[in-house]
Amino acid sequence: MATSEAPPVAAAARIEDGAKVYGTGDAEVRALDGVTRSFPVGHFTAIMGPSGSGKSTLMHCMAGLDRLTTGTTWIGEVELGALGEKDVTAVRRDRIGFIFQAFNLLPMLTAAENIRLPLDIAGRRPDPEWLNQVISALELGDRLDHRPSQLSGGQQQRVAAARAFASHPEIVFADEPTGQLDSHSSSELLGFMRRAVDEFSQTIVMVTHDPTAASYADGVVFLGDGRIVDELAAPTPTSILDRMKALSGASQ
Amino acid sequence: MIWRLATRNLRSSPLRLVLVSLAIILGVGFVSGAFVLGDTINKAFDGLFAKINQGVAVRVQGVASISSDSREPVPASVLPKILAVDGVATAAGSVGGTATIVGKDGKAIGGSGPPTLGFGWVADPALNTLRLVSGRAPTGPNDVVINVRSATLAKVVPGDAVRIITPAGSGEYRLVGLVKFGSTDNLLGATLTGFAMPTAQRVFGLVGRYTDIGVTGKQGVLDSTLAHRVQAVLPPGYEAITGARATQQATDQFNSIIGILRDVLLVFAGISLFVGAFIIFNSFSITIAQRTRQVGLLRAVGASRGSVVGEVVIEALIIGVVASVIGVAFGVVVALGLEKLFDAFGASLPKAPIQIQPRTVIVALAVGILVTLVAALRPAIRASRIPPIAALRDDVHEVTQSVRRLVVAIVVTGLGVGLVLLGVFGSVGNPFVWLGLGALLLFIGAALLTAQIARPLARVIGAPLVLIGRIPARLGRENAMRNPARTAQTATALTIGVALVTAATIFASSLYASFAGDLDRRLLAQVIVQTGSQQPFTPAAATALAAVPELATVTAWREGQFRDAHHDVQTVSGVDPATILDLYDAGLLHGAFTDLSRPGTIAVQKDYAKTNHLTVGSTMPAFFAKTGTRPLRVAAIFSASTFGQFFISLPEYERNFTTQQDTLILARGREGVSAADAKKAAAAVLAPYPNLTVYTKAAYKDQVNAQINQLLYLVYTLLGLAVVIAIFGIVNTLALSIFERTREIGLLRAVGLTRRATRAMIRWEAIIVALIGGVVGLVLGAFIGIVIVQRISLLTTLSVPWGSLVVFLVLAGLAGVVAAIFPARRAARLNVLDAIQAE
Ligand SMILES: Nc1ncnc2c1ncn2[C@@H]1O[C@H](COP(=O)(O)OP(=O)(O)OP(=O)(O)O)[C@@H](O)[C@H]1O
Ligand SMILES: [Mg+2]
Repeated sequence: MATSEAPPVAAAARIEDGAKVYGTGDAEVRALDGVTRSFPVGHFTAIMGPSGSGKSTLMHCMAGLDRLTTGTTWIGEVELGALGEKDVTAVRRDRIGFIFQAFNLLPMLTAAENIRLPLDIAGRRPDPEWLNQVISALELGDRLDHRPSQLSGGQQQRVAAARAFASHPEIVFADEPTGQLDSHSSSELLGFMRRAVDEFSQTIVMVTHDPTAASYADGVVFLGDGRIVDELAAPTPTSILDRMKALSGASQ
Repeated sequence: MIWRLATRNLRSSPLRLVLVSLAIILGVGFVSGAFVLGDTINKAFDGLFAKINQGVAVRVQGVASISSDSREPVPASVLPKILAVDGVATAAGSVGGTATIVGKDGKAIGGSGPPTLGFGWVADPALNTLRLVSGRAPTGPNDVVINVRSATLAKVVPGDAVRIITPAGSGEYRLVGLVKFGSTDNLLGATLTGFAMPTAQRVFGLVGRYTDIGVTGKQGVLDSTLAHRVQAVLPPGYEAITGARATQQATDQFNSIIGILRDVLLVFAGISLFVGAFIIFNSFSITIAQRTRQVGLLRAVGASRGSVVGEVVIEALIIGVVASVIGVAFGVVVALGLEKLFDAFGASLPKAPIQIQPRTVIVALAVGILVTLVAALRPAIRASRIPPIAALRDDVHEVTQSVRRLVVAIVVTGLGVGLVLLGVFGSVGNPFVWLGLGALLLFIGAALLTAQIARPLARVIGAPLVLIGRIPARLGRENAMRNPARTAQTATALTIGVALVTAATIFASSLYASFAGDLDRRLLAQVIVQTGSQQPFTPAAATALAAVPELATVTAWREGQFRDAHHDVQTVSGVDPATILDLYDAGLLHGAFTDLSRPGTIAVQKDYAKTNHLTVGSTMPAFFAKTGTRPLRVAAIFSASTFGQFFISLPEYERNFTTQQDTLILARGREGVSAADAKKAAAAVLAPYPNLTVYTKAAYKDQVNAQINQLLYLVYTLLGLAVVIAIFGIVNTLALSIFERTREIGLLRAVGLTRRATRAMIRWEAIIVALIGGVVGLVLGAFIGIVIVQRISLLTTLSVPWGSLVVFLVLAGLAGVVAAIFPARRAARLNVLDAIQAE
C-alpha cells in the first residue's frame, strides 16, 4: 500500500465509470449509473439531488463503506476495489473521516473519547496541537467529558466533526451532516468545515439537501437517477435554488 | 391482536427463542427424567419381587428393631410350629448373606458397589428366589450355583472348581449349575451364589437358624388371615407379613437407593431451572428495553397497560409451553440414557417398559411453564409502565442506580445470608430447606447487588485486560459497564454455577484435609485392610494375618448398630481393647481402653459423653437387635471422631450381634519391619481373599482422597451443566445486545475498527461479564462452603484450595470466550452500511 511519501496527486478521491446496481430483473435499481468525477485536494464539494438519486450510494462507495458493481474508485492513489476487507478498513481508519446525518457517536464514550476513537483504534498518538485547534474551533472545550446523551444535537454533530478531522484524514465524507440541526448549529458546523478547507487544505465531500449548506462548498455536483446531471462552481443559495428548479423542471 | 404481536415478536428472533428455551428444556428434562427413571425402576422392581414372592403367602422374619437390615434370624425351631398352623400348605426357611465369587484369574467378581449375594438353596420352587438356568441344584456341601453373568466374568462353567469367599472364609466349591434371580440375571450388577442349605447356614453363621421363613397357604385362605395365625405362634421379636408386604419392603429398599439418584437429579433440575429463570428474566428485560418505542407506539394508539402485560405473558407462555414439552421428551431421553449408563457400568436394572405417568408430565410441564412465567412477570410489568411518549423519545435506556435499589439489594442479600446461617447453625426444621431457600435469596440478592456494583467491578476487572487488549478491550469494558443491571443478570447465571462449584470444592478439600490430617495423626497402623466397597468381610482374614510373623499387632474392627437412650441409631465399633490404641490413637481422655475387656463396658467420644452427661463409671442404655436393652458402663472417654464414636470389645460385640464380620483390619509390623514389607507380607497371606485390598498408610490416604475426588468430579459434572446454561445466557445477552448496537458497531467499523478487533471487543465484553459472575460466585461459594465446613464437626480443618479457585476464575473467563464466539462472529459480519442505516 502506498504511503504519504508518494508523489502528491491532484485528486484526493476519484470515481471512474462507477455503477452500483441493487437487485436483479424487475427489481433492479441502478443507484449509480456511470459516474466519473475527481475530488481535488483542498476542495469542498457538495453533492445534491432528489431523494433516491444515489447521493449516499456514491459517497458510500467512494468512502470504502460499500463496493461498486462496476467501475473504480480511488482514495489518493489507492484503488479501493483492489483491496481486501481488512485493507479497506485500514484506509477508512487512516485516511478518511466521516460525519453521518445522525448517530455519529458511541453513547458509552465521552466526547473526548469519541473524538480520539479512530486514532485509538489505529493505535496512533494524536497530534495534540491539531486536536486542540479542532476542539477550540468547534467550541467543544467545555464539553469534552460529557457523554453524547448529555449533548445537544448540534454539539453531537460538532463532536462528530471533530472526530472526523482529528486524525488529519486526506478526505472527509459527510452525509447530510446538518440534516437534523437547526440553522444556527448548521452554520457553526459548516463554518468550521469551510475553515478547515481554507486554512488546512482539507478535502471535503458533503451530501446535502439544503442549498444554504451547499453554498459553503466550492462546487456543487447534482445527481439525478444515478448520474451526474449538472455541476455548479462558486455556488450561492440562490444560484443553487435556481439550478435545482431548472433541473426538476427539466426532468418533468 | 396481542396474540399476533406475541408470535410475531417470537418469530422475529428464533435464536433468542432457542437460547432462552434451552435452560427450561434442560431443567424440565431433569425433572421429568428423574420421575420417569424412578417410576420405571420402581415398576421393574415391583414386577421382579412380585414374581419372586408370587407363591409366598406369608413371610416370617425378625422385626426391624434398629434398621431394615438388622433383622434377627429366625430359629429353625419355629418352622414346625408354623407348619402346624391351620391353613399353611408349605413352609421353608431361607438363608442369605454375602458371598464373593473369585474368578479364574484370582480376582473378585463385582464387589465395588453392587452387592455380592449368597443364598441357601430352597427346594420348594415357590419359595426359592433363585431359578435354575442350567445344571443342577446344589446338594452337597461343596456344591455351588452362581448367576450366568458372574460365571461369564469368572470364566467358569459347570463342573469347574470355583473359589467363594463367605463370612466363614475363603473356600473352593464345585460349580454345579447356573441361576437367575427371579426373572433377571443381573440385578443391579449383583453377583448371586447359591449353596446347599446346610452349607449356607454354616458359612453365613446361621446354623439352626434362617434369615426368614417363607410360607405358602392352602387354597382359599387369605394371606392376611394366614399371617395373623402364623404371628400367633411366633416368639416375640418376629413378625409374619403377607407376601405383598414382603414384596413392598423389598421394592422399597431398592427404591431408597434409586430415590437418592432421583433426588440428586431433582436438585440439579432445580439449579438449572433457577439459572434458566435468570436467563429468561434477562432476555425479556432486554427485548422489552429494545422494544420501548414499539410499546410506546402501541400505548399511543390506544393499547391498554393490561394488553401490554398480556402480550409479554403470552410470549412467555409460548416459550414455556414449547420448552417444557420438549423438556418432557428430553427427560425420557435422560432416563433412557441413565439406564444405559447403569448397563455400561455393569449394574443393570431389571427391565420394564419406560413409565411416563401423568404425574410426571403434569409436574414437569407445570414447573417449566411456571418458572418461565414468573421470570417474565417483572419485565412484563415494567413494559406496561412504558409511557406512550416513549414512542417519540430516543432515550438510551439506562437503569437508574437509586438508593432504594441498593437498600433492597442489601436487604435481600442479608436475608439470604441469614437463612443460610439459620440452616447451617440453627436447629429449626429441616436445615436443607433453609439452606436452599437462603442460597436462593442469596443469589437473587447477589444479582441485585451486582447490578449496583457492576460498573466499578467491571472497571477494576477490566483494568488489567485493557492493558492487554487495548482498544477492543476498552470498548468491551465500556459495553459491559453501560447497563449494569443487564450485566449483573447475565453474570448471575454463571455466579450460581461458580458458587456451587466453589462451595463443593471447599467442602471436599476440607473433608480431605480434616480426614487426611486426622489419619496422619490418629492412624498408627502401617497396614490397613478393607474391601473396595467397605463391605464387611470374613474374620478369617484377620485370623490369617495374626499368624504373619512380620506383623506384631493385628486388630480386627467390626461395626454394628444400636439405639441409644434417645432411640437414635448409633454405630459402635468392636475392637481389641488391648491393642487398639497402638494402631489408632483415639485420644484417650479419661478411663482406660483396657477396661473394655470387662463385659458390659463401652468407650464414648467426648462430645457425645458431654451432651449425655456421661463420665467414666456412669452407665448408658444401649438397645441391640439381638440382646435387647443392655446397660453399658462407660470405661473410657476419648476425643477423636475420625473412626467412630463408640467402642466395645470384640467379645462384647459377639455377645450383642448375630453376624460376625469385619469392616477393617489394622496392623503394625514387627520392630524393624518396614511398612512396605509389612504390607507385602500381609498381601501374600491374603491372596485367597481377592475382595480385600491391603493398603499402606500412604496408599490408604490416597484412596480416601481418590474417593472424595470421585464424588467431587461427579458434582462438577452435574454443576458443569449449570455453567453450560449460563454460557447460553451470555450468548443470548450478547446476541441481543449486538442487535441493539448494530448502529454503533457499524459506526466503529466505518471509522476503522477491523473485523478481528470487532470480534475481540465482543469477546472482551463477554470475558468481563463472565469474570464478574466468577468473582461474585467465588465470594458466595466461599461463604457457603466455609459456613458448612464450620458447622460439620467432623470437618476439623478448613481448607480453601486457592489454586482451584484461581482455576475456576480462569475457567469463568474461558466460558466468556466460548460464549462470545458466535455473537462476535455475528457482530463482525454485520454489513457496515446496513448497520449505519439501521433504524
Ligand atoms: N440496499 C439497497 N437495496 C436496494 N436498493 C437500494 C439499497 N440502497 C439504496 N437503494 C436504492 O438506490 C437508490 C439510491 O439510494 P441512495 O440512498 O443513494 O439515495 P439518496 O440520494 O441518498 O437519497 P436520500 O436523499 O433520500 O438519502 C434508491 O432508489 C434506493 O432505493
Ligand atoms: Mg441518502
